[in-house]
Amino acid sequence: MSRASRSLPLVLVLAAAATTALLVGLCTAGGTVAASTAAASPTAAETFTPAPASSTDLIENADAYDGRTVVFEGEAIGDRLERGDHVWVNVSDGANAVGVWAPASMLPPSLVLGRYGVVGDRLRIVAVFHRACAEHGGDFDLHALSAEVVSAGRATPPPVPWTLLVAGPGTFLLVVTGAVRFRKRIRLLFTKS
Amino acid sequence: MTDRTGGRFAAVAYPVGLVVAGLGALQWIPLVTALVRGEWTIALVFLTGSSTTILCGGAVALAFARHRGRKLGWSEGMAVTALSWFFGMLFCALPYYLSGGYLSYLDACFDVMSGLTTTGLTLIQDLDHVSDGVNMWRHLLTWLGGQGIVVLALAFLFKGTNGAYKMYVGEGKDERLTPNVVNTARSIWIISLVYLGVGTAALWGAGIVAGLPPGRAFLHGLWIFMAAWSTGGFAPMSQNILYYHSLVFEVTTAVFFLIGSFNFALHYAVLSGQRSEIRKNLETVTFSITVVVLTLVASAGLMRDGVYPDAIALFRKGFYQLISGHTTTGFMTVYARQFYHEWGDLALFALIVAMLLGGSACSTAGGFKALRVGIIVKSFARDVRKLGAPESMVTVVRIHHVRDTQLDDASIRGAMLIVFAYIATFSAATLAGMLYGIPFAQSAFESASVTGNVGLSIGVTAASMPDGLKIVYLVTMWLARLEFLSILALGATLLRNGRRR
Repeated sequence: MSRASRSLPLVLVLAAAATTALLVGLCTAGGTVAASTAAASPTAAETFTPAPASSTDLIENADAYDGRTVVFEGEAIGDRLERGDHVWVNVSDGANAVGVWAPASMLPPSLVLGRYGVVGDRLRIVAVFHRACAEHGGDFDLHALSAEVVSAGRATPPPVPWTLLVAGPGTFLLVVTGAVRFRKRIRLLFTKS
Repeated sequence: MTDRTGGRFAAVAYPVGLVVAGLGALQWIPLVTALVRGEWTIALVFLTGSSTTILCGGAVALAFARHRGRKLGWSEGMAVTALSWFFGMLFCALPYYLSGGYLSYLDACFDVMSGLTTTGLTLIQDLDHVSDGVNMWRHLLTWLGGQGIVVLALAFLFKGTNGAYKMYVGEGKDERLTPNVVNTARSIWIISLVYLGVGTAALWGAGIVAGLPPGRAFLHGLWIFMAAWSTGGFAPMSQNILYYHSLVFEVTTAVFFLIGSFNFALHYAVLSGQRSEIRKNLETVTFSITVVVLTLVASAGLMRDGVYPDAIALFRKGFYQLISGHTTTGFMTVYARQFYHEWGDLALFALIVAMLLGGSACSTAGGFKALRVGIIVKSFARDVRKLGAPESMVTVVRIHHVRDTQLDDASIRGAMLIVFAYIATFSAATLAGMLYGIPFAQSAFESASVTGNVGLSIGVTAASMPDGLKIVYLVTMWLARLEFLSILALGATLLRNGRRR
């Protein structure tokens, strides 16, 4: 294979990067400015009378909601992702979880986050919605203006069904009994035929 | 059943039983995870699942152990692989179902097949509240499936090599890293284990940078590595990679799923000191060209429609989904329905083509595979050149894939047949979706994802979709991952035996 063809992948990747950068430059100079301007300046009516919106509403009608102030309610789940004086908290309304970007001081330090065996705090968030947030690399997110805990989270330890209490140790005992009873034949399985 | 048929069945049953029992033993990993995390119900679930699987698999292996010295023919060797995956799916779904995270046993089987085939589509309920034990099992399955469960058994369980190469080929891998197929299987696992250490450490760090506490960052790092390396696409949270809101995390995952989509023969060559192989190999050259072309097409579409505000967003959303689709990983940083509402035809077209093309042969990736695409393009170019040349001229085309070889008609026919099988399966799955009332573009996207074992979704795959479509997707994942031959061989064997009876 020639020297030129050996360096082909590298040349192609560089060419693609340059072309993409050029196209991005052309693009950002034009069409998307309007979108970011709209995101930055919702009308007064929209700011002061935020509309309740579910995650499905936001996903299915992202263009219509983009840049508008909405009320989003759901359970805080997973982790509190600290980023300096701000924090990411993912909030699920049952259909989808949406990332909420908020000043760290806006959310209580003892925020209960939902995970296995725990139902997280239910939050009502007034926030500006971004279909593709320019500040966060195009994330679909909510920038919180205010947040309140509307119902406290709690531990919900899963029940231990009696069927599993019988089946688990029962089947395990059968395996042990079988392994002892057939140990010679089992040993043969792991020797070369 | 005749003696011959009975003997053939017995020769197949023994290794299948052993593989199933091995999968039962592996359930101790999530069991221990559940115990460490204090998830007592989940620990009982895995104790029940593991013991039942070991009992059933072990009983079959013991019952037919006297046939283990028999030489396996091609059809038997491939049937072993196909049946191991089928029964493995049935038994591995047991803990899923017992954990209460699925609406039906079919949904649990769908997720196991999706994991083992490294597809990454999921029907699990309320993923954000799933236990660490179940998450460990989900990601372990996809990691095992990436390397291949039969490859695992060949490396560590089977003694003797009767029919080993046939089983290995049946799992969609046909390259020998070393002359001995068992050593090849071991090499694949050693490469994967080395990367498991490196990748988990890197993603652990990325998780801490993203704001996860160290303990959670470790578990997430381990699971995401398993899903990235095996080009699987599972993640512990419902938002997938979007959950972390982190460029560092996204770039780190992209590095590992890109490496994971490379041919194990390429890994072996590079680790043995042949670094220039990355630049010279026909597969990496083909893959680079298709990535560049499809990135340009997708970027042009996304920019024309003003979907993303700047270059960073275009990279993190456009390029990330494209490379995730092309490597057949399926990690997402957008919501499924955003593809439908925002991406536009041009970008969706590029993504569908990327998902169908897939990664490298003999890797964890799915799709047509870059080696086959390269071979077909080279042979096409050769035929075009021949048209303009004197009739007496003999054209010889050489390709470089680990070593220089001459492109022959058998390789070209083999590559074309498999690509044709992928296109036929993709068309059939798209048609099935449309018969269930899904619009063409959405059905084509989802079926490209299923056929390429990718895992990106446009919103079709959900627990609420019809059972018939779940079965179509499940069988498609199985067919595509094993590259058709094993399951067709199994079907032919069953048909032959049925007629004889």
